[in-house]
Amino acid sequence: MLGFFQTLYARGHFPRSTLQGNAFAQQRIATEFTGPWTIGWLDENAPDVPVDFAPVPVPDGTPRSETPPVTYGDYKNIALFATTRHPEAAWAFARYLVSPEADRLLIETTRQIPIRRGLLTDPALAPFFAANPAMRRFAEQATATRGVDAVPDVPEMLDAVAQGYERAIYGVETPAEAVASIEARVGVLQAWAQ
Amino acid sequence: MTETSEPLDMDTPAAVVPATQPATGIPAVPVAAAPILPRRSRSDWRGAAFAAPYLLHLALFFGYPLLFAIVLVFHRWDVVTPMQWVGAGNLQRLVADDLFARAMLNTGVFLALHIPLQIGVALLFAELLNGKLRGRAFFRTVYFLPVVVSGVVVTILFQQLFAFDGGYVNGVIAALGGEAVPWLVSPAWAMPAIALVATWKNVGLYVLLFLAGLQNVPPELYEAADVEGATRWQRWRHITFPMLNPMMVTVVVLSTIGGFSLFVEPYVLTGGGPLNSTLSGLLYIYNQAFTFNHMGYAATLGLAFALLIFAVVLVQRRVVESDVS
Repeated sequence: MLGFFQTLYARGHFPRSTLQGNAFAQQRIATEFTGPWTIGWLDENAPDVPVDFAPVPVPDGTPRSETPPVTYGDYKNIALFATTRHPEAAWAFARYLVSPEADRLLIETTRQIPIRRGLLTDPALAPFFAANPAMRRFAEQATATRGVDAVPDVPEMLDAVAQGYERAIYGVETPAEAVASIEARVGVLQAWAQ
Repeated sequence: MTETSEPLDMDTPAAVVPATQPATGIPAVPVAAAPILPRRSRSDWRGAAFAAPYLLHLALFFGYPLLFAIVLVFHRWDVVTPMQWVGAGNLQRLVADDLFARAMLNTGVFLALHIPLQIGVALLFAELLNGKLRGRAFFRTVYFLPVVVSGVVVTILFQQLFAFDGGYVNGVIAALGGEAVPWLVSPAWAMPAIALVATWKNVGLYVLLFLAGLQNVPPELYEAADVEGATRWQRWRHITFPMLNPMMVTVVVLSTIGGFSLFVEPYVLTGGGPLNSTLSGLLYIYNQAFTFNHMGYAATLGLAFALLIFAVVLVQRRVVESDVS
């Protein structure tokens, strides 16, 4: 996968640029990695720019079962304090926050994708997706979202992966070297954690 | 309070004055009275009361955090769960940490670019503003403006200016027929771009310091040089520059400490990239503390960083001050 992205960047299919949103709106770059928040931003700032959204590309020959590729979800978890004076009310409120009604309000108000199966077949959400076709792309992608492993040092491990990815797309390391660097840093972290 | 400070106390009798000296009859010279114990202790109490606010501040905002940081060096702590004792684990990781070494190297590169640039530009503007210039007060204010503007605001502004695709600076370069410079996306260009931003932001303060230094040079020295037929360069080299040396020490030390504190510019502009080329020491410490929740390791890095700054400034002061002498 690192080699695939190394090629995409080397061919100029993806930009090495800061402030990508602006550059995209100005039609100076053709692609960018983004999320559903861009839909509203582009509606406001570049309503005439024709855009569409697609899952992250995968190499030719990738089995259909592996598409769209799995991504990590950015969860907004709910916690209840054990010491709360009104545990029943707090529990009822938490249950409401994950109810179909609250999920509908969430996606309509914030354009965040709720964690729920069957978003695209839910009759209550059909008017929303009809009015916001770009959001369908992200609802389709939601089925391939996974939780982040509950390992204490996972944020730094993911940082190690991000840095290996960066070294590969800048061409300072071959994909194999980048993977070896990632493994080495994760090894340091594991040794330190023990 | 010491004996020598006692006469400062207005309540202490200034002197015991006998009418005449017994043997000679010559009028007596006042002799300092011996301090009286109860008054001395009262004076101590007053001194302590005056010092208390600062001591309290020092204890709360320096002493306590320093002690807490030393405790953290030997622990692993994510703020939420209780601390775990790790002995020398954080120190062992520090010694073998490539990213910390990289951050120190980057900080050195930044200082090597930023300090000469800042001193050169500040001296130039201070010289210009010290001369007869129309609208001098206006320019003095304008040069100081970036210093008082929020660092984040300035950095976001430069993010627009230095953007590779559609940035204003590259727009001007393209209009002049040049090729776009990958300011923030090339490992070779990113740190020089950050040094430019930091210099633009802070140079006003150093202009002010040099201006104060220039205005303290006695005009007689220049008059004497004129009589001797000195050229403009000789006046600058043999009068202005040596007379500015005390201010130079201040500027070099302040720029160095400011340079070691490099954080906002890489945090907002590049996030430490590309390829960690702008990862500063402080940004790496921040990442360890607030992105990865490694408070113990961040404290270890912080203490090592503080010791390094202390050592560099100590050496620097000796070198620059010996140059002065």
